[in-house]
Parts: sequence; C-alpha cells; structure tokens
Amino acid sequence: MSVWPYLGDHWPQILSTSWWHIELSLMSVGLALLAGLPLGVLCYWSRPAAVIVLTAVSVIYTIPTLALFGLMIPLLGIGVVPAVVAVLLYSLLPVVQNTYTGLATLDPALREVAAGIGMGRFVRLFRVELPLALPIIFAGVRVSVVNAIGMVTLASLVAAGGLGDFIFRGISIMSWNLIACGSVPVLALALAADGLLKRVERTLGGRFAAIAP
Amino acid sequence: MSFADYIDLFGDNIVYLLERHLLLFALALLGATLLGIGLGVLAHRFEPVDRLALPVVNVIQACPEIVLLALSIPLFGIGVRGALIPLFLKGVLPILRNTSGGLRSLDPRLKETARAMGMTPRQILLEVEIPAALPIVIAGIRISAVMLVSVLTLTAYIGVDSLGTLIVQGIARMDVTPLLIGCGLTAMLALVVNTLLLSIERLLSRRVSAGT
Repeated sequence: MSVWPYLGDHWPQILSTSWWHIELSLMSVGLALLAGLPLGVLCYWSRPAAVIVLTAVSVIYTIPTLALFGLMIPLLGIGVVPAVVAVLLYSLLPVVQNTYTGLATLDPALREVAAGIGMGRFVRLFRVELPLALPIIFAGVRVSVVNAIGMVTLASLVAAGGLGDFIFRGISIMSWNLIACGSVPVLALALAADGLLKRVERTLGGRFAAIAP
Repeated sequence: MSFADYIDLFGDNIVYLLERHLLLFALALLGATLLGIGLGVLAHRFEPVDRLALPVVNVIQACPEIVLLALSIPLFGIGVRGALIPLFLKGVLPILRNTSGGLRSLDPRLKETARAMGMTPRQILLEVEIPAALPIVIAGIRISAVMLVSVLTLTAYIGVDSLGTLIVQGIARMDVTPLLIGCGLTAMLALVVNTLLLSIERLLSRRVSAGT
C-alpha cells in the first residue's frame, strides 16, 4: 500500500496520537514557563544567580536529547513523568535566556523613570519591564514549543506515547508507511507551531515597537 | 551488573563504540564545515540563492532529528549511509547561516578599504572578510558540533555503531549500566566539544575586535 492511502486509512489513530503529542509538548513547555520565567527574573535581579542559572540551563541544553531521556529512566522510571521532565529541562534554556536578555537589554532610563514615579521592584517588573520584554520572551517560547514538538517524538522511548510510537515501530519493522504516519504529522505540527507563533511574535513586536525604546 | 563487571566484560566494545563515535563525528564536522563555509560564501555572493534558501532552511531547522533520520531510510537504507542526510542537513545549516550572516554583518567600509588598497576580490574574501567573520563562523561550527553529537547518538536506531548503541541497548533491556555509560559519555563529549569551541570563539573575537 502506498503512503497517502495508508495515512488516509489510519487517520483517526493518527489524529488521537497527534493530540496526545500536542498535550505532552504543551504540558512540558507550560511547566518550563512556570519554572523558567521566575528563573529569568532572578537572573536579571542577581548577577551571581545569573551566572549559575544560565550555565546550568545551557549545560542541560548541550546534553544530547537521547542521553537526556536515557538519564531519566534510572531517576524517574518510565511513563509520562520522565518524558515531560526531560522535555521541560530541555525547554528551559530558551525561556530563561530570553527572559533574562529581554529584561537586561531594556533602556536603563526606563527603569529609573519607573522608580522615579514611585514604583516598587515588583510593580515595576509587572507593569513596565515584563510587558516591554514580552516580544523577546515570546521568541524564546516559540523556540521552546518547536523544540518540544520535535523532542516529544523521543518520549516514545520511555513509553509515554506520542507520534514517536509510529516512527520507532516503523523503523524496527522497516515499514515506510508507519514511519510516515509519525513523521508527516510531527513535521506538520512543528511547522504550523513555528509559523503561527512567529505571526503572534510579529504582532507583539509591532504593538510594542511604538513604546519600546 | 555492576559498572566494574560491565566494563570488565564489555570494555573493548565501549572503546570501539567511542572510537566510532569520535571518528564519525570528526568526519561529519569536517565535511559540514567545508560545505557550510563554501555554501555560505556562495549564498552571500548571490543574494537570490540566499532568499530562496531561507524558507527551506527554516523548514529543515524545525524538523526533528529523528524524523530526518526516519525519512532518510527509504532513500539510503540503514547504516552510515542512512545517517548521511540528517548529519548533513543538521550539521551544514548552522555553519552556512552563520557564514553568510557573518559576512553580511561586516562593515561595508572594510571591503571598500581593501578594494582601495588594490586587493583582488579573492584576496578580499580570503584575507579580509573571512578572517573578520571568523568568530561568527566558529559559533556556527560550535552549534553544529553539538547538534552532530546528538544526531550521531540517535543514529544508533538505524544501525550505526555509536555511543548511542549503549543507550539503545540500555533502554531495550532496562539495564541501567550501559544506559548510564552511554548517556554519560555522550553528554560529556557534547560538553567538552562545546566548551572547547566556545573558548576558541572567545579567543578569536577578542583578537578580531582588538585588530579592528
């Protein structure tokens, strides 16, 4: 059977697996945001913290993805938890790095003006600094999401499901059709996410260009 | 099985896999560097090529490594040949992009001065532009090197002997010993390569910024 009819025949399965793939990716990136944003702000506020945190996240990012998943097995066993943790760890770098860069590259005059009109550290952060840094932070989120969609493919190795199931099964029985069942949706998802989030990013950039320095 | 027992029994195999990994890595990086710089210079010279290539580059960059690997099986089969496409695509692109981007970001006065001094276009490229863009090119080589270590690890799934083989075996048998040895060695390799190239990058950019 050729590839496209095969995909047509199995689309309900592909669709539900794709949905689970998206859920896994969003769960990981969501948690990475929860952890990464405060870490990025911490880096901005404290120089020693910046050195430690930025080094740590870039070390994690350098570890080959397969090795990161492998390391999860003795630590967390198999299933959804190790998969999400591995992808989360890998998604930290773009979020933390961009939050830090976005905040650190703001015009210092802005910070002084905000302090001058009596804004405290937190008010300043939430009402001035974070909104202005948003386009750069969002660029980091985009990179994280696209990375995560690709990396969740490997979640299949720790029995967390996702489109990787088709790909790895396809590789082991040398079935081109099965490989396509996983590869085509993964690629489509990654490209769609990239295109969509780039568009949002441009809108954000346009909205803030008027007030940003 | 304890680590000591495992290394005692399979030590030769670990060394063999490490050698293969390093050999393939060196070859892939060398090829990617030559091709990436060559194509980058071309893309810089002929702007339409660059504009046409950009969307293609974006698509390939968004494509997960394992998908590239899986897609190359029907074309090249399994083994080292099947790994060529992902290695090539993931390895060459960062270098290509940084070379053409680095050349473009140079101060145009630099080139004009060189021309006014009577340098030929070839001399300008080799003696002025490439040395000035070198830190950015090296940054591209670093990104691609880290990527190549990662892709090579994954190639174990299509039958290439690399350190990834230990990880694959570890996962398949739920045996923590080879798993940790494989993960540890590949992670260390990636970190060492990254640190090494990062220090070269810093050294060069200091030299270049001091020179200009």
